Amino acid sequence: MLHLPPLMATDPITGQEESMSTTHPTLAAPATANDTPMWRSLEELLDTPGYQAMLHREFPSQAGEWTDPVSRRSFLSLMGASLALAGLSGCRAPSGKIVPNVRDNEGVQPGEGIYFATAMTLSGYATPVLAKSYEGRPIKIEANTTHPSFKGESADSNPGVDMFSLASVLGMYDPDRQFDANNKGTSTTWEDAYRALRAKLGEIRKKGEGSKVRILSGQVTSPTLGGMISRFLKEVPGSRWHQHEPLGSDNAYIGTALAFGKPLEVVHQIHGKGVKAEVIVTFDADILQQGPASLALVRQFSELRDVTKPAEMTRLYAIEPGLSVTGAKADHRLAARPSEIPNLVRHLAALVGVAGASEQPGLPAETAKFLKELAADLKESTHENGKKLDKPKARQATLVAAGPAQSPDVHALVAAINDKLGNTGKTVRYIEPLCQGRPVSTADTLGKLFDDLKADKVDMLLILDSNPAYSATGDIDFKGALEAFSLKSGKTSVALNLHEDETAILCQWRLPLAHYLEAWGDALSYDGRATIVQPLIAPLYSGKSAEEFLAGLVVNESDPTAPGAQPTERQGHDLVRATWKAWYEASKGASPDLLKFKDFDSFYTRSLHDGHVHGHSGRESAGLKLNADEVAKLAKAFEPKSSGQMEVVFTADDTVHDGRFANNGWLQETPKPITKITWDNAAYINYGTAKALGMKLVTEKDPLGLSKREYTGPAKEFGWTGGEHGRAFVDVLDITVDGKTVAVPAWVVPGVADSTIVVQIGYGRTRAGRVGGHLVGKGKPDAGKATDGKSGAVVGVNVNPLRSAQSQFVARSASAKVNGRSHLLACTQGHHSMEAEGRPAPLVRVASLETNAANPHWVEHDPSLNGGHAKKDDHAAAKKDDHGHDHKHDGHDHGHDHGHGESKPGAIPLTLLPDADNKTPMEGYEYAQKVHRWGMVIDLNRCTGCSACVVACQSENNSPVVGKHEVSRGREMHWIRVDRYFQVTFESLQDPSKVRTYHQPVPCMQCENAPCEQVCPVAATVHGYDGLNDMVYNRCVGTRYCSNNCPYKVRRFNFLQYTDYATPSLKLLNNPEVTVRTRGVMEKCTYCVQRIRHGEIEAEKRAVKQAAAEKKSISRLKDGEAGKVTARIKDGEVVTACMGACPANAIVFGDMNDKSSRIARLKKAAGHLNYSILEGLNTFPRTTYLAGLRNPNPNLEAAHG
Amino acid sequence: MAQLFPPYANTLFRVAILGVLLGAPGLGVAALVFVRSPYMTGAYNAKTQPIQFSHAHHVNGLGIDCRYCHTSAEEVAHSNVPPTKTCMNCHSQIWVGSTMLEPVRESFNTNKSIEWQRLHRLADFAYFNHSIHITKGIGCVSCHGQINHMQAVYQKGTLLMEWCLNCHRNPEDHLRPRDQITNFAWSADQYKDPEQPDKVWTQQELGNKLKAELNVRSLIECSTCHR
Repeated sequence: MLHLPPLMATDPITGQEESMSTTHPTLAAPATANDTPMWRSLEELLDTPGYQAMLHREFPSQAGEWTDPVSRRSFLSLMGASLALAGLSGCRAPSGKIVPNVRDNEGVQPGEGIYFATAMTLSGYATPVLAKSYEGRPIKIEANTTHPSFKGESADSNPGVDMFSLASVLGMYDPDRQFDANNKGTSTTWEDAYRALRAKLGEIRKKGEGSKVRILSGQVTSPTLGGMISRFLKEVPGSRWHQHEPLGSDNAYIGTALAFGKPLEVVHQIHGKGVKAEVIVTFDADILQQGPASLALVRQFSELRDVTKPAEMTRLYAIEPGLSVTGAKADHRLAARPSEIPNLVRHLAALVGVAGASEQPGLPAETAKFLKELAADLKESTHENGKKLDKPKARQATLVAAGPAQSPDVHALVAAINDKLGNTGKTVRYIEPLCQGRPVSTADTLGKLFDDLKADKVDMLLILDSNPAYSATGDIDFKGALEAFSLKSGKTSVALNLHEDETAILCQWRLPLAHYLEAWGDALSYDGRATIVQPLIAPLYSGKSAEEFLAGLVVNESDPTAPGAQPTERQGHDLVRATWKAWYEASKGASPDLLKFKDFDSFYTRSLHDGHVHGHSGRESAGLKLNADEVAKLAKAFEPKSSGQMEVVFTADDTVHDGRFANNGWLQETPKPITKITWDNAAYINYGTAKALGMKLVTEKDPLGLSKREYTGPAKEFGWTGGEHGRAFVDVLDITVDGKTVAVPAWVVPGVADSTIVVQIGYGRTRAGRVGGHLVGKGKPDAGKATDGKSGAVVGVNVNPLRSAQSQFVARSASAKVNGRSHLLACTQGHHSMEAEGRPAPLVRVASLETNAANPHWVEHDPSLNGGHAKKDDHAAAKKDDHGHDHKHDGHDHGHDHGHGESKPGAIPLTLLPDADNKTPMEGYEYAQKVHRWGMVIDLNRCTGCSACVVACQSENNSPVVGKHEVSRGREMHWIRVDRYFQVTFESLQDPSKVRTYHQPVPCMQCENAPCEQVCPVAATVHGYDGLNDMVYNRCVGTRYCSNNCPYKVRRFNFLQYTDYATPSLKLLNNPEVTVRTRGVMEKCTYCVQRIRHGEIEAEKRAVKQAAAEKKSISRLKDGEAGKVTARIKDGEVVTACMGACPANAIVFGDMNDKSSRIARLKKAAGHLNYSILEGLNTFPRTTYLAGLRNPNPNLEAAHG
Repeated sequence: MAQLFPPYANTLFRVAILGVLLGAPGLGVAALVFVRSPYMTGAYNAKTQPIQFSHAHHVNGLGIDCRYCHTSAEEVAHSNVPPTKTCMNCHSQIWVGSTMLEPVRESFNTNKSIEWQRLHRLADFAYFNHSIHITKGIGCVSCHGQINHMQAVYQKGTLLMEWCLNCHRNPEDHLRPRDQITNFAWSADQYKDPEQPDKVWTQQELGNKLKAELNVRSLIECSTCHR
């Protein structure tokens, strides 16, 4: 069915084809980047004619065309309006008012951002952040660089932020949030709601029957909220607290209870505190992307993947059913069906010597070898830095981790394996459980609440920030039960949610919840350290926090026993403060950290300021002893063999999580780290499964008849795999579990285990809002087509109905069939392809430690360059010195001399820098050596592809959201993209364990010899004095020549009016330091020039003050010039948004002229590993990459590589 | 047949041709003049403010320094308009019964801001920073004019890009010692150099000296002001 063309490279000059597998003489042919093809989409691997056609185009076809009638019409109306406005007032300076404060707030300067430490909570756990407030409006989330649970030990280290926290500012300004308290749709006030609810509560309590009031919430770690719920349960006798977390799992708690006799919180430590995990093994645990500790673990992991310290590199093994971010980063990955994993854990337990465990019979030979070598590797290392050791060295510490989807048995066995390997207390610590009321007793589950609702055992239900009507598993019809309950007389249902969502609309009282940036609170991070959540703004939509709400129902401050006090304005703060006052008084004698504070106020103020409660941490569980008998019993138990049916794995979505972020446009539009799909979820299957299901991999005809109506590009030739780089019409699968069927579009992901389908929850919301899915009466969503044939414009598919209480994470006996329909997915995996004809040097360069040790110059072996290569193309010739100047190579660290070595005759320091003060070009070059020379290094070895940088950039630079259909035309506006490459031959595509995955973030390269500048007819893109490639929006007339000429495809064009100028709340979100771009303007990454200029001004001001004090003059050009003060930005003072967000510390930005700067040191230390992409084009990019180094097990590589 | 064109038609025609030839560029010139006119730039337009605050009285008459009220100009990008509290520092003691000051007292008592009419407004895509200009020795008067003589403040410059660039190209024309920033009457000949006490300085000489000392650059790159 599939024709596989030979992988040929065509020499553009001679037209001769040369096979990629025959390398030229100097190419050492490492078993890495150069022999196995690296590709982004299947059509690229297949090299289809459509793909070839696409390479010649700047944008996908259709990108510049009007194809969406709605957009066109709204565009015309917008244009009409703006023309009218232009005629009236477009040219005159607009007037306005200046409205100063009556009394100024302390520390607030007009137009200057200030930062507050707070924390975002997700599933109860805290992610500490700094929120930037600009004249009272929170506009940006940054990393809290001083938080002890997240920061690294080196001064350079940055803890980073995750995508969800970064996007939470948009979540706060979400115009679809519930804006008033209402009773069955009638707007009312909080006072009325309190009065009615208090009266009702009094009635219920008077009856004294008990067991009639229920609270339903998500997971809670907050001491204040937990305390308030306890207090409520005490004040209202017989009331119960149910917990519902769509992807919450008590498996780790129950598993540790099996292993140690009591439930414990497992805290992993890969690096730091004197611990180094030399080998890491994950069993279906996406430790680098999911879970409350992922930020810290990514940072720790990246510290052990430092290319400048190859001897310290850790090795990661991942055993998993789907392809996760952790799996993509793994040195060895074994794709295993969910039903196989428990037995693999038992096998490994036997191999490492856990008492009672025995090896599993009947494992496939490759799997058995994988586990055997893995077990041996866990005990001792045979190689170091790619060289064989004379004598194997015992491992100091390793780490084995199990994911939340794994059963308690697996968690107990993993605890036993870690114990056996001596990891307990080192890489694995156990502390007292952080989530209150967990593990949830059977009387407190959502299922029990459902039963009680049906059995009429509930009078009042308070739902606190939970959406069970959407996210309840399919075995309970919670929606129906709640609806029936709310309609019964004498019953009271209350929802306190951010949106009037699927659940709130079924409740009688719908109350607005305050966002975390609007209300006081507290929460614990993964290791038990508390952060106080402080608000930055008064509630936009009259919301209240859950603790405030509960306090308002039962707490009267003047008489704590009498219910029904009016809540006071500062109540949230009072509650939080009271919690920590009590804690401080109780522990001030015990904790040495608290001795430095003279009283509670100084402790509290300092804790607020620093973003963590001083002296607070998780309680270590002392005297733990493994219950060997229990473990032996578990190890002996045998998992039933798979039924041979299709298995379905349910995961959280990488961008919208469990659906709570569905109405967040930034997150919806961020391409998912592995699949690069936006605005949809899909059923991920591997190539073999797709063929077995009878999917048409290359559709000859297009099923929707779009070639006639809408779509005329060549993409239709290669159908669904990515379409023409975005427009993918894919087959829809009917997935059936226990008689329930859901239709989900299918997507081939190499690396998914055989006969396994991975689907994401979080989509198919029907009351999310204008972005995430219809919210009746509140405007129309703009994206997504109906997938169930009924609802209007829901994004993605809700797969919760397929789940049940027993199979929350995995359904083991499912079936799937192609249902004949097709669905449009907007996938960016093929967008902005930098591949050129003839496949030049690999963009991503990766080698094993062994290869690197044998030949440190492997990165330079680049067939597109002229060094020793027979091929002579224009680019190579262009590197010859055509100035006639005697360019001495002065040993400076030029951004452009990497990858082609200093001895190469072609590499000369060309520069476009202006000749300052009428100096000759060479003197101008000297000048350029003295001022700031900004550059960026992206370490491919550290990058996990998490895409936090994409959201950080969008937030910092006011990038608009364009919607699904625009993305499918290649019009997304992200200034930094993260390219994902798969590396596997077509022959091996069917073996899911063979695929390797790489990520490469691509911002503007800030070329010194920028091709874009040379073609702009209006000088809208020009070079600045510090080498930045400036983009001047006001000059741009939209010819798009620059984008056409950009080999890196990093320029973005505003084809339509994407920026929302109409929604008032979204205007508040914009960063005032960055111009909001309009239609018809080209834009691109600026290296966050607003931050550079701000840093520059601060440095100049500092220098002037210093010079005045020392009675000296100022120099900008030289350090330490006699009698002069230097005005230079210090290293670390200017951090780009992407760098600030990166938890892996993969992005390093700085002044390359400053020899002591981090970037200069890193480039020096990385040496030959530092390379530029498409260096043959003579662009001299300022952004360079550090080649990846894999650390495979040499004993396994031969068999499994 | 009667004459279709009277004899003076020739003259008329010549005048018309001349008119078109001169008029077309003339229209262009007129347009260029028009966009620079106070009508378009808002210069010299003193608006009616809620309170008839006189800078002439407070600055020239009473000798209050600019920075007493405009506190943030030295420190951050934006120069603030003072909060009502600043007015009340003095006016809770003096002129407490003045009807002219009624809006100030009302604002202070009701906690409601005074809404001033905005005069200087740069385009949204131009990012100006007060603090660096002041730090490097550009006096208030260079951009704002003789505020100390304005009964009602008006915008002095055009605020067009060419107006900014005039100075950015030749900063030495406007540099002054940093202790004379708010002195509206300062000129270079008042400068006394401790090493050359008898020398009478011209602006050109002093500007170049200060430019070298403070390393003032001529920044005309786009991203200096546009981001």
